[in-house]
Amino acid sequence: MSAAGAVTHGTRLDGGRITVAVLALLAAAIGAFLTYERARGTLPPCPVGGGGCATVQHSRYAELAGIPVSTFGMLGGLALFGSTFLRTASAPLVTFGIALVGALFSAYLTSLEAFTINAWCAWCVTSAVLWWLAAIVAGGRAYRALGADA
Amino acid sequence: MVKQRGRGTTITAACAIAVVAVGALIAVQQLGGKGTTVAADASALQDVALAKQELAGIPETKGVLGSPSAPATIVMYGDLRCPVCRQWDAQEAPDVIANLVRPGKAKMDLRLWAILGPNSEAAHRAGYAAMQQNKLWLYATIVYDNQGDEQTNWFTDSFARAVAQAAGLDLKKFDADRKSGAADQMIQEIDAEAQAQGFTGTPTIGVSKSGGAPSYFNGVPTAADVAQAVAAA
Repeated sequence: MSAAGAVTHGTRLDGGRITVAVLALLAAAIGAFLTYERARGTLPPCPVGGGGCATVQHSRYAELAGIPVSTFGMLGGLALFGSTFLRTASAPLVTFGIALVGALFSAYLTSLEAFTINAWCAWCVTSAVLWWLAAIVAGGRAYRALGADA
Repeated sequence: MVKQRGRGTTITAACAIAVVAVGALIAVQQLGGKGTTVAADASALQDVALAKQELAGIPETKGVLGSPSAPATIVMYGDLRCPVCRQWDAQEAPDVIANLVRPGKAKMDLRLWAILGPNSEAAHRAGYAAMQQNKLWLYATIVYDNQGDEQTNWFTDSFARAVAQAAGLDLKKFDADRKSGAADQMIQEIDAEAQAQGFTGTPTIGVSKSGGAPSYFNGVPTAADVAQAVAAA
């Protein structure tokens, strides 16, 4: 990886990086909100879908190894956001990897809402959409960056 | 061509790593969700605050949640170890309580019917003791939120006391009441009631105009089904 290459990533691909960074911040904000609501012991207000948010938050799938899933969403969003500031050759690939893990895990959680919990949490679905958009944008960015490096 | 194949391989490798990572996360969650062991102390119980919030300010009298003057009664025969009851408690009960019980349109009578053997009877003796302190619903909700595997005898003495402590019960009275003959009598009476009515499983839910005989649902109703029946009662 040459210094010129790093500059190329930093200029030509700004649009993709900014998009991913914004999506990451939004996903982290949703995770933080749900984590905060859970820590307060309150039920999150559900903008749509009736009481689905409470049902999903109340389900046994709302935790992973004793930690609220929303906390993972918040930390993942922050990690994704942070990765967009990396300046190494592999940075776009790292960003894509984080976004893809988030997108796939969100898809799993969405499938649980649809087929196991039988309730929809609008915050969780919005977060899943954000992760998928981030993965798509980050994937295109990584693909282009690898082409520029090779 | 070689360049395209190279970056294609790299992207594929990244995808494979991501899939493995997500697979590991799912495995951790699935294994954690089996509930073969349950919390043995109050601090390890999940969703206690949520349960308290759901029921806050709603009166309870001898296992009946809601205003005694509510015009309709929802009767639920449930087993604290029954996973379908847990599912109903998590998915439908919050709406029923928020939309029907809290506004005073109906009250809910939880009848603890032990259908899953001696460990269910132990759970229901604890439920009886919580009922003596007018906290059966809070006790039951915390138990459901922390339920173990149906195939194991997860309702242990330490779990019973942990839930009692989390629910704010007087532990001395709780221990005395669950060991009393009256607890066994309640279990036998409810079993006789359920058998006489030909019930085949839990949860069995019915709605009546208060004081009248309940009409029971075929199968497990949704909160909307219950609301419709209450409106028609």
